Amino acid sequence: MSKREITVLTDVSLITCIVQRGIADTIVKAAQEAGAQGATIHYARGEGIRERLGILALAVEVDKEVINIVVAKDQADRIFERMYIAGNLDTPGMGLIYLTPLDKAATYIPQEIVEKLEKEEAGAKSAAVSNQ
Amino acid sequence: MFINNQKLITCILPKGICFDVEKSLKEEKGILTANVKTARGLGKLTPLAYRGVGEQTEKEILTVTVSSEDADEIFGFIYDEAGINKPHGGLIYMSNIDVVSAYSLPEDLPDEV
Repeated sequence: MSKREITVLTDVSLITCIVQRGIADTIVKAAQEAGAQGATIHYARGEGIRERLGILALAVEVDKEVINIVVAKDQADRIFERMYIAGNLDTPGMGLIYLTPLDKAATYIPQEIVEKLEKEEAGAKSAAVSNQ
Repeated sequence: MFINNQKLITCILPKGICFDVEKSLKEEKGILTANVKTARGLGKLTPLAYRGVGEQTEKEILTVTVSSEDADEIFGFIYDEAGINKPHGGLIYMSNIDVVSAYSLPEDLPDEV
């Protein structure tokens, strides 16, 4: 069993974006401007469409960057679209982006924010009861 | 051969923690397979942001597949072992996966020294 109480975040999604090496920072910047809190980037090697585009398969970089961003579900579409546009993903060979629903997530949440959220939730509940 | 009803737990941690978490998973929960990859991470509140030396820090990403029945327990276990509930402690999330291949080792295989 867990030793502590975990504040679990539900209604979250994971945006994964695979692009050519060197482009990730531009896309992450666009995501942050759209409301993303952070991002994790790792490197990979991608094959497939590369061999079929450009002369001697040199047009598309073989090294890839994979961006992972966890976002709230209500922000997911907006951030997804901004990333798509920032990465020019409508151009063949530029990359791929997809959205995965998450069951739950957890991270450090400052106590004052937890208390604030609890108060808001309690206020909303009491308002709903008084309206009935 | 294939197992249904599994969950994928992913954990993004500061560099240097994953090995100990993997060891605990093996010793205390009997989980033999976990993958670690290195990454760089950035956020609005990274430790280095305050020192003005950049906002990116080295990370490790731990992924492990577990059965749906054990998923919540393992999720909590990793959360505690990795010390996620502290500032800059990282992030853990869980997602559903449809099918996973079974992974087992021979019974007479000696332990790593």
